[in-house]
Amino acid sequence: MIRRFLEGEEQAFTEIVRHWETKVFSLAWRYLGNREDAQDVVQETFLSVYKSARNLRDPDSFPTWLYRITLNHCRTSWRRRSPELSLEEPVPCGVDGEGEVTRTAAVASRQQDVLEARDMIRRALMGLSDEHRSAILLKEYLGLSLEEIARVMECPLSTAKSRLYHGLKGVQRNLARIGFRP
Amino acid sequence: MPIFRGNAMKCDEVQEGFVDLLYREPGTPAPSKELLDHIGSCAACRKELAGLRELQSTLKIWQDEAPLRPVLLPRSGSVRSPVRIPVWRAVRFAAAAALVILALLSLSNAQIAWDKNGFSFRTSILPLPVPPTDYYTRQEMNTILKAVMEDSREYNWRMMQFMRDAIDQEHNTDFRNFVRVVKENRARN
Repeated sequence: MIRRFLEGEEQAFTEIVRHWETKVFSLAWRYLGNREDAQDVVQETFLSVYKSARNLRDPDSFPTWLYRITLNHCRTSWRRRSPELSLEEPVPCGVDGEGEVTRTAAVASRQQDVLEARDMIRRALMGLSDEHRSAILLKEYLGLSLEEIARVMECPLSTAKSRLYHGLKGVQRNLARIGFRP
Repeated sequence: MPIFRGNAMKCDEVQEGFVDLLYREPGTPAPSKELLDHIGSCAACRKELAGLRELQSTLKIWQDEAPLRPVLLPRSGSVRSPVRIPVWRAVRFAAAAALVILALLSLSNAQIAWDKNGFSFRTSILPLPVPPTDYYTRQEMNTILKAVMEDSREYNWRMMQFMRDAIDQEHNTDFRNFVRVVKENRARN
């Protein structure tokens, strides 16, 4: 798919987008904590991919390259936004279009729990630095190896490990602060 | 971070080891015996590791989601930047191309001329046969040079005679004038 696009087959780009858009969107949403901003990042990311894919020398490194572009756009979007989210700020469920929880009471209740838990995780992640948050998102949600994380973040392996560890500790601390009970 | 002093490894030295233990990636070296011994004997580190494992499963609550709207695809060729060749690469390419062209011209015995008949370009793989009348042989050149030297000697000899005659004539003229002036003075006195 990547090779076909690099060889000039335009149709392959549609396949690339369809294959990767969920990953890119989820990464951006978890980084930014806002779906609309994440949607913009997805659009900008794929535009960048389309424009600069010819610079990609090794098609096998496409995922790490794609995630690096995504995180760069996330950082730009993060700097643009104001005011920044606070850990203490309550983020009501449904704000991001989650108001579809209207099925049976049991399902709704369970789903509500999940949404609340997710929102707490989101707030805990928002309280991390860019480096710690990126490391956690790349490892825990995208399943990259530690080597790949080091490549995406352009840092030594030991630094990637350290960022991941301190990121996890930070999330743990933030969850405890906002009263998360697993 | 607790410091466990009864073991060879301190608790704050095992942070990166925690990451290795949490993710156990294939192809990476197994956790060291010292680390495992430390975890086995340090309750604080065991608790911390368990807390991190619990956190990993908590984070999984947040699952992937599809984008809100389909990604707008660029029209074919609308924004894709053309291939830009760096300047240094273009120069190198041009130099290599020039060398190849020169080599081909050389091998093909190219003859390029611009004269009163206009521009002409001619090539031949084998060397062109040289018309014998266009060039002098060595012997002919020697004869020509000898003749030129002879002519030159004769010319020089004539020139020297001419110069000598000219000087004599000047000298005689001056002498005749002197005699005439002396005679006139004598007659006047």
